[in-house]
Amino acid sequence: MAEKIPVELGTEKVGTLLRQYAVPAIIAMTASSLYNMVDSIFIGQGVGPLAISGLAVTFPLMNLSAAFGTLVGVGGATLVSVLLGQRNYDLAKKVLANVFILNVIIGVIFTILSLSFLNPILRFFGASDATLPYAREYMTVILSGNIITHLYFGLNAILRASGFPRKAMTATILTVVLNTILDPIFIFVFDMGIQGAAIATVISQAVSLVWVFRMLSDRRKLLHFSKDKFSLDWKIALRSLSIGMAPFLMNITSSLVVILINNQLRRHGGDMAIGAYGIINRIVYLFIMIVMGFTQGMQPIAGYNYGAKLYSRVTEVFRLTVFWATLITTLCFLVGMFFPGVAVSLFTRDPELKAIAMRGLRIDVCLFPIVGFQMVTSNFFQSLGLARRAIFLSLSRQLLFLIPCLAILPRFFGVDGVWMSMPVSDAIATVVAALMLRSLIRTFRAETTPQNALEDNANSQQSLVSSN
Amino acid sequence: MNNYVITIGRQIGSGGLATASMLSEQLGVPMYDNNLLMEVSKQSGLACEFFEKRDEKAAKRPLGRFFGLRSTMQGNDGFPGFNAISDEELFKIQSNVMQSIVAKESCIIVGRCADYVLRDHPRRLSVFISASMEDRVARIVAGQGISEAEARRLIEHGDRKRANYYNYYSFKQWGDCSSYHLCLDSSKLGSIENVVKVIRNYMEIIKF
Repeated sequence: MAEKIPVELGTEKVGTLLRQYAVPAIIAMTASSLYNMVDSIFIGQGVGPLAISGLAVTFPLMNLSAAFGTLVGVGGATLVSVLLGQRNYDLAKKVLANVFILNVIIGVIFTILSLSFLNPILRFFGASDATLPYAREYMTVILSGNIITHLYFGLNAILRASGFPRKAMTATILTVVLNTILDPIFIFVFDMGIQGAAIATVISQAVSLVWVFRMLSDRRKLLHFSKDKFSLDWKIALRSLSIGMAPFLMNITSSLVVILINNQLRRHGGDMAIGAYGIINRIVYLFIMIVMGFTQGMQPIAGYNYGAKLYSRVTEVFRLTVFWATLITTLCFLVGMFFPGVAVSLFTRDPELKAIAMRGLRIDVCLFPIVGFQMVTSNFFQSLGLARRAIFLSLSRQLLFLIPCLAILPRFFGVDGVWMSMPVSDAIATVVAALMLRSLIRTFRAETTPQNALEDNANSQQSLVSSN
Repeated sequence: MNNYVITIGRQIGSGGLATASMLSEQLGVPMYDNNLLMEVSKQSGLACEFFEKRDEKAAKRPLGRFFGLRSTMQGNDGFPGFNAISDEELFKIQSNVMQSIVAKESCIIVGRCADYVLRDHPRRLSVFISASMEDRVARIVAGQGISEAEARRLIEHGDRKRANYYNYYSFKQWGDCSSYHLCLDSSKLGSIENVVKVIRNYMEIIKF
């Protein structure tokens, strides 16, 4: 039962392919950003402006927790997909069991450590006397359910990698829907405040986890939990951890950047500025994640055609993705510039918070139309297997140029300086991306020219023949 | 299915390739070595050099993953996405082509984890050929016209590369005798003719 190589990647119309590959990715990405957005909206509307700030203070800790989740999950999912490709089902089952065990071990350690040092951690992440109680209440519940979260993400990734992307997506959407239903019940009906939002989150993930677990326990499937494979295998564990190390580090760096942003905001603008960042972040991310969906769809198409040396198709899919990405980021720009009030009022009615968030959003997205190009370009390098350059580009926007901006600009412009850091680093990163892309396109040209010349030659000979 | 397959693993300079081609001549079945890549390229539509560049190389090692960071295998969120030119995908394509070849004809396959990829083949004989360091160096010096020191470096580097590749994809140990039916030392046997003789005798005894 040799699996078919998708040769249609080299023949089918590029637009059709992009639609096929991007739409599921976009749905999955949007679902996960909606999930966070819903939480923020209910907390902002139901609990109050300070609660939004408290929530924003927890972002780095949430990132950190997600980092440890992906550390195990990514490696496990990658190994499973390789092993299933080799029809090595026994070992794949072992990997599945090891992901489970590792998730539990790492989840427990993370919960114990973070819960016992919760106050100093949250202070370090930007909490004040006023916002600490909110952040604490929220995180206590989230961290207690940490193992559920890790298991849910890890096992869902394996479900996806083992040939059931639709089922994995259903689980993701199930969590979003459940969370949207449970959030108002716990916040408004049970009057549990920010803690209610956290409980809703953990419950909806627990339900999805049960569902995913049942999928993976089906003995008729090639991959399922089996008792005799349930022991920690150090070789498998180390191998999956080493694969997960890269995304782990990415998550850690993004967590560090948010810590820096939060602290600069607190120093120059206080709790309300942090809350404003929480709101801006949620709005912008919705659009960013859609762009990520497009780039994810571009990857296999660009990769295959690059491998097949069909460079015109490579540039075609790149152009098309840049077009869509720019459309999306421009939409974000328009919303931020002309309707910031509408977007921000989703999250809060507090006039002070609203004013800060609107100003911040305006500055943050002022160069957004070019961000689409930057993001697609860095992913483009990745799809061609040029991982080093891809990682440099991706770090340049979110880390390399952003950190110096965040350190310097607020000294002169206060809170505005923090907001300005983002478009400034976007602009520099875009220039760098454009330069790197130019040199890549040149190598394409150099490789295609002789071929084109040959084709032209053949064409002209043909026309000679026909004219005779 | 009466097709058979003989897979030959080999240390660099052990005479594995010469053994395979002599065996292929005597048995009258084709041998696949580098020409496997051409077949793979033809069936997948991907350029041959992509397979050549990664031929018998492991995907990035842990440290490489650390710095080369996300391999092409992973999507934006870090979780595996599909990309035809990722190392794992190329290995999968190559394995599938190997399966389709052995389904059509009897053949000999050199290296490329063939013993692992074809582990479920009903008529398969897996051989591993080693040799003493002196013999290997001598063979490479004679074959490639390089200095002894260069040959030694080539052997060290090449063995490590092959082992990494094999261990990475098969989750087993390269050259570990439990992985093969027959392990031979070509130095002890003296000549490639003798190596082939032993293999053919072995085939006779097990009524292969």
